[in-house]
Amino acid sequence: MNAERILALRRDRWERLGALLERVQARGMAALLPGEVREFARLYRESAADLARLRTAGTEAEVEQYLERLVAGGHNALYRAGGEGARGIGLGRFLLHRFPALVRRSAPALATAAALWVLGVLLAYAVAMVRPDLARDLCPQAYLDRAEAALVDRARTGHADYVRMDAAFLPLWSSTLVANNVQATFVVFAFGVTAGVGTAVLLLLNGMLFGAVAAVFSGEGVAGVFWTFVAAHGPVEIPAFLIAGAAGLRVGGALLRPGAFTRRDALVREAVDAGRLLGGTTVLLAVAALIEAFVSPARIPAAEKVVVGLAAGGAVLAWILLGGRGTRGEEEGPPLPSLGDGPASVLRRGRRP
Amino acid sequence: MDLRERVTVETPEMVEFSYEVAGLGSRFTAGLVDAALQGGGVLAILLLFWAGDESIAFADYAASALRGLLLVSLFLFVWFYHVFFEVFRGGQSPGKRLFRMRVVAEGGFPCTLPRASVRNLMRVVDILPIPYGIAGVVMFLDPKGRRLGDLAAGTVVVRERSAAVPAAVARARALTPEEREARRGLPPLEKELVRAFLQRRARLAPEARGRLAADLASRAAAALGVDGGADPEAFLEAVGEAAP
Repeated sequence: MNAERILALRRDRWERLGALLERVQARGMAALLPGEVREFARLYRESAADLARLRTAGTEAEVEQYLERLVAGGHNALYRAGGEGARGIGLGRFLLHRFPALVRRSAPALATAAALWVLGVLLAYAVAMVRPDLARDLCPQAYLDRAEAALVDRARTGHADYVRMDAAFLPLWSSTLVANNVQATFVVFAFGVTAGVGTAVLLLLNGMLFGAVAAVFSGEGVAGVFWTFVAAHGPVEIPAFLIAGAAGLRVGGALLRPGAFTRRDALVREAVDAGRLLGGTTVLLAVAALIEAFVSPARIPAAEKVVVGLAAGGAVLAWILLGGRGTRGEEEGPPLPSLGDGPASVLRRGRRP
Repeated sequence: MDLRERVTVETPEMVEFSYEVAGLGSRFTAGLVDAALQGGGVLAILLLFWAGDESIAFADYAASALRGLLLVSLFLFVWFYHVFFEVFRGGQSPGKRLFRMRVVAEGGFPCTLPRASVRNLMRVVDILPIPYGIAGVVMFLDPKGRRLGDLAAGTVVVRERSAAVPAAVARARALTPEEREARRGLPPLEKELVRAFLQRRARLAPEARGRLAADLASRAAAALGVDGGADPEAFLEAVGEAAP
């Protein structure tokens, strides 16, 4: 068949595909009705075949480019890289199964992240034991002020809190905490791309900050104020931060030890997993921020805060250790293959008419 | 010779197509547009946040909750502006849409949520030391113009082709019975000559094109036993199997 006849016979279908594609690119596959989804897939396949035939017959560059755009758009809308589901697995299944399994598979990186953080804490605490003035230099002024305030409060009323706050402030404070914590978590992950060096440094620094603040409070003789404040939300917040650190270290590890892959392929494989780890971390941080805002500063006995902390920490531990077991093959999905090695699944269901 | 960098994709149907990689300059301008939009949004949220008397607002639980929500939305807006558009709007943030670019995963696949998250969180590294210093150097060195976030997420920013229907497609139509009859009557040699001419005529010098068209038209007219008419090229289009 010559090019002219292909054009005459097929142009209506191409224009129809173009019209459908415009809607899909603006609002996703959901913009199509179920019947149109099937039509879209059929038109895409036909146009791909037309493109091959036109190249054999020979045609103007302009026509070939026009058809290439349609085929590229259809391919982009219909196919997914191997290992990436057609529409994601849903938040519930992700949190219950995939995320905990991912964390378990990242155990070596998580252990390294935890070791770096604990090293930071111990280092700062040890320095503070020898040279308290150095520890004070490590602490931002805000923390020093809080320690002073706690000291003054206790002298005056016999009781001290880590923060003094009106109940009205709590929602605002809580959202500030989510924003700050998630931000710190994102940054510790992102610096994984510096071969993990940035992530390691940030983990160490964060640990040192924690250790230094603890040391300053105990140096002032108000250690209890700090620890009871941290007891409730720490068991959720610290693991979240460490998991993000582990995600960053995995990205760095891919650059340092790519194994059987090229550095770039290894980087992409690890980074997509790391992106998923980060998604779960964000949820953990939101929970931690709620506790930090509503339980940690509350005027309740220290023992109750510790109980909340233990319960929350225990829940996180059980979740990470047990979540997704028994559904292994399906929930963890195949390991992400190298890029461009074919379709995972083709069609997503469209909106009901 | 075409020096523009391309990425080639082979579909499961065994058909190849290629994307042209978006250059540093256009990505920078698109980035400026997005940054301006983001800046405007942040400013709007902050104005809402500062609206009203502080002392009253802070004493009121509802106002505090509202401000909390505003802060969360500010956070989402700053961190997830690009992620949202790349996942749910076909890989095009408003800036990229304006400058006809699109983010795709390598292999021509769509940019999924984990990829978009990685690509955009890595911005905090790419943006260093001066605005996008690292990104600029990495994009300059990488043949496909990827910044660190792209390299990690396995994504490429490609140029979007024009959606305009080419003239040849727009004017393509089925043959009338007379035209089909005329073509059938053309002997194989003339048929091949006319086809070759129609395919190559755009690249011929004008005088050579006119001379060839006139020669061929009279030859084809003689073979068919008809009158060639005033416009030789129109006659050849009508009787020849054109490659448009």
